[in-house]
Amino acid sequence: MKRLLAMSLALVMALTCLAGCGGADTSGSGSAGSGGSASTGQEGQSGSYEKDTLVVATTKETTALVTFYPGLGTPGSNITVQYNESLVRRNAEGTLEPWLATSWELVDDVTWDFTLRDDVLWHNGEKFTADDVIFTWNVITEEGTELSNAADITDNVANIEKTGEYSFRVTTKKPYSGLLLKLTAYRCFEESYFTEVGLEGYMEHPIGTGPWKFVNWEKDVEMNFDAFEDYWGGAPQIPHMKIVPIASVASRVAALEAGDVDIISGVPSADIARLEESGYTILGGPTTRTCYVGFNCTGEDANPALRDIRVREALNRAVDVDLIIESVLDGYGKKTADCTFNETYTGFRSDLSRPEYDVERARELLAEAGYADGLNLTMSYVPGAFMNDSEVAQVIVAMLAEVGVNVTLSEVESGVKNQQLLDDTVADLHLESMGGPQADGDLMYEVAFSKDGRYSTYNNPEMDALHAAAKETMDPEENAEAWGRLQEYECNEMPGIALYQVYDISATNPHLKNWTPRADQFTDTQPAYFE
Amino acid sequence: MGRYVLKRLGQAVVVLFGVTLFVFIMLNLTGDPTDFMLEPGASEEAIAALRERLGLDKPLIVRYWVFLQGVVRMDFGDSYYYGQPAMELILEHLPATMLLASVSLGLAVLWSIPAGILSAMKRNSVCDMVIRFASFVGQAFPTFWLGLLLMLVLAVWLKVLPTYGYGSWQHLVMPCVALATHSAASITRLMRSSMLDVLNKEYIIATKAKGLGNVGLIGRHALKNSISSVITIVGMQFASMMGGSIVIENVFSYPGVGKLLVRSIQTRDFAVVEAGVFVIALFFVVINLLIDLSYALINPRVRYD
Repeated sequence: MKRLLAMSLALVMALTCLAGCGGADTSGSGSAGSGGSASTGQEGQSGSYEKDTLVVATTKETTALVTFYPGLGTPGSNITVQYNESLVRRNAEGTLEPWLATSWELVDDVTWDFTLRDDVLWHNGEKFTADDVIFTWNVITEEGTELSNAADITDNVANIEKTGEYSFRVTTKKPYSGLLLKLTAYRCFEESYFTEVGLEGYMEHPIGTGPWKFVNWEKDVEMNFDAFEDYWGGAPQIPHMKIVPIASVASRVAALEAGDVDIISGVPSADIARLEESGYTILGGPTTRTCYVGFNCTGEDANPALRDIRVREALNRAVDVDLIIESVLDGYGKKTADCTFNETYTGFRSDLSRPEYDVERARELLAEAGYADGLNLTMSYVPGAFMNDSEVAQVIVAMLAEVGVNVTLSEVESGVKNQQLLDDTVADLHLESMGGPQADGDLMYEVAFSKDGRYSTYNNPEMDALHAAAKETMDPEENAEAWGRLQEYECNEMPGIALYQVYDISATNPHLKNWTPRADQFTDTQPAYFE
Repeated sequence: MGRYVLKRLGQAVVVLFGVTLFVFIMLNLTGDPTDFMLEPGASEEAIAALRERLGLDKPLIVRYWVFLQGVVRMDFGDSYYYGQPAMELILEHLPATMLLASVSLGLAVLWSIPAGILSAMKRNSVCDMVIRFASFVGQAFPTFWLGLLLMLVLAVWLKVLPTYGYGSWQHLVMPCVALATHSAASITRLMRSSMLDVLNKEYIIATKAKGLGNVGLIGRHALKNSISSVITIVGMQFASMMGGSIVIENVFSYPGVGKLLVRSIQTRDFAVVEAGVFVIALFFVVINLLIDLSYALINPRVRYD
């Protein structure tokens, strides 16, 4: 009996010690309110709502704090954007606008002259000048640099040189109309700070010119920011911001409803009605993301039927995109005319449309192509790539079955799918979506359908020629027309089943005012305030 | 006993070596991380340059040799994504997972051992039925669903606990209860059946006949003989919770090793996966050893020479 008592006491003591140890460490280092309890809003005496920390829930955790670091992706870029601004940027609807660079002029096809703002300060008090732009260029072109994602810039730009205290000149390797879009990712390093702490120091505590100053980062828990008083665009009215990654959709919505967070994105359409009734603000709209079903026309083992344009048209006509948007997405989506052009891209033509939903005609076309008895195809997708993708995939399979096309659907892991796309062993049909801040006709086409595109499963030299021509057309009007021509060709060529432009719905604390979601899915909270 | 421990540690080294080799081969066969690290429009030259910088263009044998040289110094390399040493990254997340696992298991054990004993002693009574039903239900609930349910009731409706985060005991309540439910169910059932087994033995009946009361009976005789299998399962559950609580970590946005590992596997962040697997394997090995040693402690007839 004594031994039993002794043993159980020892066990309990050991466990509490472990728990106690852990607790002591974290409560010492954890910031006040890690977890939401200390940053809940209060109703002030005058009836106004007071809250000093804006809590934003994101869908994925970031891995690095420095622009150009490999593996950043859109979630990571969304973090760097809070404190580090770019030379140009897209506005909320997706159109390019001047930012740190106020104007630019094309001197000739490969030379661009830029002028910078002269009232911008870094977080450490230094003035932002063209020196920082050049310094950054030197850092990213250094031999063996870790900043591999700068390849987007260094692949296209030959040189950047200073032409004045607030001006610089960019020389591209070839005429490249997409330079400005690439410069939306050009975020600078501050010369004296970088020289002092190096890349490692920057990775631990980055600075920038943006409205929010980086304070600290507890990995997978939260990242804290303070408003930057001397921000050129006006300091944020809310003194602090906290970004927390909540990957699980259900948990994100619960966090909003519990009052632990103020902004969530990626709200499932099924929750919208309930949240609206409870008084939460629902905002949302088109993003730069487009989804479509790609055809594997280059793989050796792929079904050769897809190389016949009649089959491709039949598959397009078999899918009722309007019905998908209405019933699966509750209206949150916009039908696209072709696979890769979305209204937020340069040169978008609204007069083009995809083949009409027509089951009879689809069957006729299949019969003409010799598949009157039916067709067997495989289809794969990565679950969770975009909202409701599993449901959309299943609905497409059912719709195709109506015209006699039997599709075997399979889920695949993203790493495996990418590998399959690289060596063209992917399924006959593969559900894809592409978007993000750099999304534009140029990038989308290149990745999806160009001969050189790594993930491309299509090959049409004429379409590629139109793409190359558009890239090199420098006059803005002619450039837009050139993209329009590519779009039209793609519309008629049907290298995939055109689906829709993805919408992203956000929900916020009803007391949060003046915040709008952006098409590139970056979070811009500088103008927001609580009321 | 000393020689036995030494022998076991020697075996442990072999196990760890085998595990890291296996993981290394599997990771390298299933994909190249450079594919995901750059923007989708990146050129072939940029990717090749990245591959060269990371040393991924060298043959597998060479890479394994370099890797092995690092492992003996506990240096698994840098994470491709975080840019910091992989082992450091794992160790940063480890305390959170250990806390989660130990508190969950603590709760589970606090419930299961008394419940199991009670269930066995009052076999087929109402008490027994209730406990058995509770175990059945506990095992049937999917953990993530239970987690979400707790979150809905306690965080959204009643607003008494936070929905995400880490740092105070309030953050532990829901994840630990959700995790503990499953464990408690299995431990209760095992405790009960072990105890029943022992209670039927002749020496128990003899001791009862001699006049020893229930508490003394259970405490001094029955428990010691039935606890070994329970200790085994508790140890194994702790070790598997170390890497396997990913689902709960996802639901509660809890910064544990599980989430980090799954993300690293998906992005083929080799160093982090290797470091993580190594640490978890180490846990399994150490816990196994402790369990085996505990048998000797509880039952003096067990000898290790």
